[in-house]
Amino acid sequence: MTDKIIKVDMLARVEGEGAFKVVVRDGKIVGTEFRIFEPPRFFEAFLQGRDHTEAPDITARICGICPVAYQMSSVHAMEMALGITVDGPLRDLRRLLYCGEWIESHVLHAAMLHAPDFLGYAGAIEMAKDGHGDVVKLALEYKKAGNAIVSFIGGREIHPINVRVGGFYKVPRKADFAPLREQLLRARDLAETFVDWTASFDFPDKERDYTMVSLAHGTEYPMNEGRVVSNKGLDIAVTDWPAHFREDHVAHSNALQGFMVDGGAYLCGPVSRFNNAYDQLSDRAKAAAQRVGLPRDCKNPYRSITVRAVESLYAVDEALRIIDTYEEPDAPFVDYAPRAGIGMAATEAPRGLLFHRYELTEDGSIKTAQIVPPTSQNQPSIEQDLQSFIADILDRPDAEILHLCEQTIRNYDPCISCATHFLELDIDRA
Amino acid sequence: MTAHKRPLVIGIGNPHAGDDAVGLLVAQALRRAGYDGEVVENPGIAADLISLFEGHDHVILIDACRSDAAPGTIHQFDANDAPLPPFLTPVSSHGYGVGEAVELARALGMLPAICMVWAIEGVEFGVGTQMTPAVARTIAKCVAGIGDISALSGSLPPHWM
Repeated sequence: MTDKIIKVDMLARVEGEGAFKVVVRDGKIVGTEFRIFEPPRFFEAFLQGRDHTEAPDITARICGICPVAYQMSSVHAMEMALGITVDGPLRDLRRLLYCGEWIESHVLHAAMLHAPDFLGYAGAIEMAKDGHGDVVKLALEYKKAGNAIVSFIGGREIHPINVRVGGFYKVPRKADFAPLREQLLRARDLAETFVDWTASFDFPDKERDYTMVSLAHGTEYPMNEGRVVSNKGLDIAVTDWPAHFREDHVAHSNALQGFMVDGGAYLCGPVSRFNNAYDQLSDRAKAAAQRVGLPRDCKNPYRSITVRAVESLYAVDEALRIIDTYEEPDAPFVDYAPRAGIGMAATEAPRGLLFHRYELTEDGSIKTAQIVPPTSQNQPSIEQDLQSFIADILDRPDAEILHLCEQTIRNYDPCISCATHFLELDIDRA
Repeated sequence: MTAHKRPLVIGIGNPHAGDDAVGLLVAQALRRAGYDGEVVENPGIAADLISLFEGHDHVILIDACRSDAAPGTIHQFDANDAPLPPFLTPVSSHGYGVGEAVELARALGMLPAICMVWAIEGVEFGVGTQMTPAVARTIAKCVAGIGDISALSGSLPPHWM
């Protein structure tokens, strides 16, 4: 083994069309390429000329499993451009809606897409057939609680229709929450079991010293708003994002890649949030993390599956807290008049920080749109992980190398599958 | 026949992605036509589809597909007969797929007693694109076909079109 190319042309169990390639020369990795085709690039052009009120619905279509994230980043950015603030119960309802999406997305990824890597199965179907059906059913039941929140607040389970710039079209009455509350109480038990299950896997003993970027909020775990911070000292307002981050075209990918302005890669997503905002987790989530031995300064990306389970448990707790303290708002939305302006916002999608920037014309039409999704930002880190984590196993069988590559990429939850299986492994032995 | 005996119809797709919207449009047309069974629209996430199956013994899933057949071809599969063909994996980013949903439901013993998949051959799946006319013409055919099935108390006619 001196020269080879490890390549997968179509990644399974990720969203969209993803591929990766590792090039080995003289026994050393000389290049890693991760590529994922990002739909948001088309959506940015699609948004231009449309009314700003259409953005929540249109951007919700970018991703089948995190529409709320796109809606939230878009409405927050629009509200900045329009000069309005949404707070109080309406803000709480938005946070509740986001809790629902975190549960939906995290449970789906952890149970159906990532767990098979740790248990040695091609996918959830094979896992379910081979004695793990009960935990798959548990995950389906657990995920329903997330769906129920999104359906209750958003108007339907997927692609909520109740979100609008300024708030919501309709808001629930306090008495109407009772069935949802009962469902969440049942889901909390499932959530605890789920944390334990994900922590029972064998994790590759690999770490990297990431620059971990997330939102930070003084009193709550990052979700809807906050400053952009890192574990390396970054602490900026979201509106300073363009001065600190950039997106580059790279030759091998259609998608832009996100970097710090100095060219450094960074990590966004659950592991960054967990490290940067551990103190804001609920007591129950912290206790679960401690129970399963999840270190507070987690630098092992393979343990992201357990971090997701802890964040999901937190989301159940937080949803219950919001429900229990909810007071019906005076109006379902804050009224406003269209105006020209520029607005920016970042929220925490399940997979990481999602930045939106819009420029509006006088009549409220969208002049320009910029959407920076978490997967774009994580691409350079994925490439560096591949380079770092497989360097010491290059003499192992190709199947073993390939498995670790795939498992590594899925640490990032680059969303959901568009293909059943990996395509053929192409190894070029020069 | 009471409403709850009608097949659950799940229209799958993305309304902004050309032919990928056809499953959703069939669901909407079915409602407009006065169908008195349950109709659901979904982007095609397997876990959610399985949850939708619960409590139903007759389900019809309608999704777009791409298999190199002529645009507008309606492929019909009985999911209880055999695994679905590979081309029923999603053609766009709307989820984990009808094929995966059916196979996972089968593995978990959660597949409805009657589970039909109607896959409509599309050609244009780009974001912001228009639906191909041949695909749009299948919407009325699907509505009529579901009406025929309902009229037969759940048993499928051999040639529904």
